[in-house]
Amino acid sequence: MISLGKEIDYAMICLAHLAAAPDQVWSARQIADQHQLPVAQLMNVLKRLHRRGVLRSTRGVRGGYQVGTDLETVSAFDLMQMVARPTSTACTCGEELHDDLGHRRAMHVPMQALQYQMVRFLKSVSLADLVVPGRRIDVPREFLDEQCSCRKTPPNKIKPTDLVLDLSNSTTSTV
Amino acid sequence: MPISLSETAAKEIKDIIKQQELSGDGTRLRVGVKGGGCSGFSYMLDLTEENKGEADEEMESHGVKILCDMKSYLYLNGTEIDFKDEVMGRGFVFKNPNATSSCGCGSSFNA
Repeated sequence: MISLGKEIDYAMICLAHLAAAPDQVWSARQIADQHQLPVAQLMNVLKRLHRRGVLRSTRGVRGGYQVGTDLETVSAFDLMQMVARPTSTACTCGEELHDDLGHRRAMHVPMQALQYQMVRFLKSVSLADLVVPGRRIDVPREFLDEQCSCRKTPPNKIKPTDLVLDLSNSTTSTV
Repeated sequence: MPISLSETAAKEIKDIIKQQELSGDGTRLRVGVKGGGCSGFSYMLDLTEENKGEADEEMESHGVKILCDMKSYLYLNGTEIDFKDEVMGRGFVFKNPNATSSCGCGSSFNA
């Protein structure tokens, strides 16, 4: 399973929750309780989405959040930029990098190439494709083909392995 | 309410069973949820030649036998599984009434 970071997970869960009931207003606590998420962190995520106009809010006792924009126009990459906190200000555009001890680090060009491909893909996926109920593909056809536990014919492709890529640390420049 | 398949999804499952050269009568579609915690749950599909176990619910939809463990069934009952083939990809879509519930009392399923 590729991990994009907890805050992006929380943002996706919130958006899926709100997109499923677009006429209702939901507080951070209600969403946190329903999905067993930490309230404080969820509040931060919701505030960031609100500041960027993805959500709109209503104040008061019965206040809360609703989806505030057309999710077709927001890409998965946009969401990551809005939600993830940058952990490094190091430029990865080709300059030499130094770690915390000042040691020179090799520039991992293949990883950079992968980064560009991942960013390009993430920009092509809209949030509407991911969070709108009945639209999102929950289990791809190929997954059932490849992962079937009683398969008798060999798979055509190599089985996917678990990958953990921390894209929230991405400092990739705009492609 | 049981878990059901749309006609399109059932046809796709039968095609996969045929492609995998599995027994049409002896193969069941196992449906479930997995994961939990801060990342939430994800849907799971698998084809199995196992019979119904003690902890399973069994049902049939459009000629496809479905197995679901009782814990997942709490979350999935009433779900219709559809199949889409679109620009964004091909795959199974879970239309789960529990996921759109307006109840805010924290009734989400505990694994």
